[in-house]
Amino acid sequence: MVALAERPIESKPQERSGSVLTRWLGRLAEFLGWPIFWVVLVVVLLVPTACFLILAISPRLFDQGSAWFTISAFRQALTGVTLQGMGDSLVVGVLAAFLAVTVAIVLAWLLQRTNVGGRRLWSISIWTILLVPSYIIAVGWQVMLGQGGVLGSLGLYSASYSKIFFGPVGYTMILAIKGIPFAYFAVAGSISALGSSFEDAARVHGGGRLSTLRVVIPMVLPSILAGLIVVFAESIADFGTAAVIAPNAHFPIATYNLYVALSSYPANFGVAAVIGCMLVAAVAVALMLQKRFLKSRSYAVLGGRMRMSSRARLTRRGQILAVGVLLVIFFVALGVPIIGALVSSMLKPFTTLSIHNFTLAAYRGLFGVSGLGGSISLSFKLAVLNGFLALFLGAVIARRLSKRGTTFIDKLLDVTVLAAIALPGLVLAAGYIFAYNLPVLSSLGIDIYGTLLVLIMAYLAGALPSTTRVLAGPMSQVRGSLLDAGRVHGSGLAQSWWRCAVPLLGPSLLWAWLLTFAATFLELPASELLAPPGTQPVAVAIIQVLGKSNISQGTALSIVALLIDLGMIIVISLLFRLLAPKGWRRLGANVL
Amino acid sequence: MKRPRLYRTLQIALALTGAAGVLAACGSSSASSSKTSSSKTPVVPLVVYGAEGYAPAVAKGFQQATGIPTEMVNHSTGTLLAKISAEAENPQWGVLWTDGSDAYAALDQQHYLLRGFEPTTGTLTSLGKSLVPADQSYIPTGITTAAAFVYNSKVVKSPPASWSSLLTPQWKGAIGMNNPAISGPTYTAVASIMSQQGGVAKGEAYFKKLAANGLHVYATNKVTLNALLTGAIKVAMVQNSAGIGFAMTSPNLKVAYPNKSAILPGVLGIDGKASKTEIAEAKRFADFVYSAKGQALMLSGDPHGDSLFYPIVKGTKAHSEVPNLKAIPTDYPNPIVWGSREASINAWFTSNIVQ
Repeated sequence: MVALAERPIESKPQERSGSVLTRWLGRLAEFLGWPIFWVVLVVVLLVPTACFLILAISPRLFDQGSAWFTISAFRQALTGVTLQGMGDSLVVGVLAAFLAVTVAIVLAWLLQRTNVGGRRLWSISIWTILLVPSYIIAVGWQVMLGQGGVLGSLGLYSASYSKIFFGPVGYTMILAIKGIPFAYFAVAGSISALGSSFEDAARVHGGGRLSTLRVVIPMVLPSILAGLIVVFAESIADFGTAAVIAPNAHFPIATYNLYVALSSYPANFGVAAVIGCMLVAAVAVALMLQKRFLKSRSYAVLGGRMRMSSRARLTRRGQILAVGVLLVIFFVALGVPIIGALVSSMLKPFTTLSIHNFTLAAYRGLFGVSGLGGSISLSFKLAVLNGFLALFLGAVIARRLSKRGTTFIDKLLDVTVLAAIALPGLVLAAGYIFAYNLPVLSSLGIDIYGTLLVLIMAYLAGALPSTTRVLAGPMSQVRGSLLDAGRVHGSGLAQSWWRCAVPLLGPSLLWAWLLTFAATFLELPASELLAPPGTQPVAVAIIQVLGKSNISQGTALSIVALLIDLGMIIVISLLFRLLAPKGWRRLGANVL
Repeated sequence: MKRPRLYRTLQIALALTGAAGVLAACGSSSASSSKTSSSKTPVVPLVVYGAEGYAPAVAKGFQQATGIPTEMVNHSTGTLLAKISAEAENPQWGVLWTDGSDAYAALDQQHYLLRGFEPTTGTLTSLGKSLVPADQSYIPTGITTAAAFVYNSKVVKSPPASWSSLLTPQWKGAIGMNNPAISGPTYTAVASIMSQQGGVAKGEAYFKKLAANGLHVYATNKVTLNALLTGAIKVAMVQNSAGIGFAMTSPNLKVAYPNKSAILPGVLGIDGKASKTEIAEAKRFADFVYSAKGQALMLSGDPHGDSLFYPIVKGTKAHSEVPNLKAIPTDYPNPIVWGSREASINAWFTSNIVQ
């Protein structure tokens, strides 16, 4: 569809083998494809977001106040702690972005350009970071460093490092950890494609290592900037870390303020909407700066005739050093959180760290919680469905964006989809209530609020921005000529995508699906606000268990849910290896 | 290839019509499947928004006893109230059942609640009667207290006994509580402390001193109690039922009551804007809660949490772990006065104490 809309093939394709019906269906899809796409995007993402943001200036529209137009919410939000929270979030977001991109560059260079050992394991670890919710990483570190935590049990507790961690430093670190995969996906492609020829040229002309870097870094600057912005957007919208660290850090954070504004009675939707607006605006400004910066000079040095670079062969000492660096990175990012979560789910209260004090009681207790099986089954089905929906729509958007800059609509789409990453889940979920619980919709016969459909739509809206970002790189690498070739040889549009492009994209699509599956399986804000009465998605069940019994059982359930996530990944990856055509697997081997 | 404008208009019109049709079809099919009605007495599903741990068990018992389909939406008080506020134009709930009367007083002032109804299936104790508002806009169902002092008896030999003692150096950095802006019941505790100090201004001064003495603020009861378990704090100021529940599984934990601790009623409200049928069902639900069967389900539904309440319906006995309220010095801040201050006090608390 994309290729046809933007690269029309005027010559008549060869006679197709399909029946009249399929041909007509194809024409119908061609006729309605893009309009349906836009309507879905508007209904699923734009309307709910706009409703919530409009609330900031017109509460009366949604029965939330008496004024049709007011700026009082802005006045409230742009003072004191709320304003400080915005400032803190922006600063921390920028720092986390730089930290994550720096680590990602190191990772990308080691994994793409050297023969460091265990590359597959490290790649999978990067994906695992993506799947672990930020609150689990934060809780893991808390259990490790907090008073009475793991280090405390070993007699290593110190109030000073604990104080440093439970403040801006720890907060930035956790956001940076969560940002590593996004930064990596942004920079890995170009670092891999850069080849060693530019480095060699710089060295031949007498440049030292430093001046070589000065030559190479500007060439990958566009992807570095893209990585910075994605991590910045993800960081300022993160709530999991804020919930764990902000309350005791005396360190105001925008998302925590937003949560507080929505939690007390009466909920202050106006202030929450302003905070949401500011977060989205911050990303929009960052995007504009990026565009202006990139326009100022040309960075088009990566061409189609680049040769794949050969991997640098590390010496024995180099291998040891490289593996050491990777071990440190992944111990901080994954090791500590996993140890922390396991300890807090297995250690008996008031006991010290010793093998005798570990118990599986919390896990056994989960069997007694009624209705848990139903929750897992419901979330599982919804996550599978949302995986496919987000994959399809995300791929279409990513493809469209890869030909960026053609029309105003495309530029708008680009900004909207990226800025939506900065939209906290709570804002999106509340926006759904305002948009789809309007009495006017009921009078039109559209009674979808309180049904599973709205929950699915909200899940899709939540997943779409990240899925699109993950697919943006791979989709932009599919050349239009490849699809044209398919069409010239008699395939329909769908068929040429299926036979020419999908094999190349197989593993990327698989990972994007898994990412959406995992995020949906444990999604909380939309599940809480939009699940139909009588149904309970997994994340809500976890919160219920946390609220009813001791915290170890709640952590145990989080770990079980994560294991289901990881189990799914292993099963799907194995199925891919066993069932996918050989070509898909071989071509996909370089993606990770 | 440039398409003619008519072509594009036709495309968009068709897509929009299709989308509206699909949404309407999805909506009406789910509505027709969920809102079945019999020809004799109309029945609609009764939607119960409940934060009480025993609410699902009671709802299930109610459905079995009456045949009325009862759908639970079981979340924290804050989430449920946010949902109710957002659904203002088109309420989706029939019954709301949470702790603390302040929010109900505020809901009543905004004309959300059905007035003039109290169940007749049980007789209230005199304490219970004192909690019924003059306009009968909400229904008290039981009592817990907020806040109680929960402590590890191995570490703390003599717990604090008054609010002023928390300001002494002995308790520096040792006290933890919930953020009232996130944990609904904690607001009642904060209101009571402020009222005992002599008003909002003096109350704010008290909390500033408490913060200066190293107060820790967590999200909810369980998070605060977990900080106690890991040794991050020595005394947790939480709802007494949560403390008693924890003490049942961790015998070292003890619960002490300050002078004075706020009465925190479990409260049930009926949506005044619901359909006549749903209001009638909600009234039957409230009657069921006051009945012997309903009381028994409240006592058994959440044995380590909310079921550890102090009953106010005559003939119902509290669990043996729950102390007699007569032995505890209590306070009941006027919900009409303090309910309307909730948003501003919570915002102040978050700005000045938490952050």
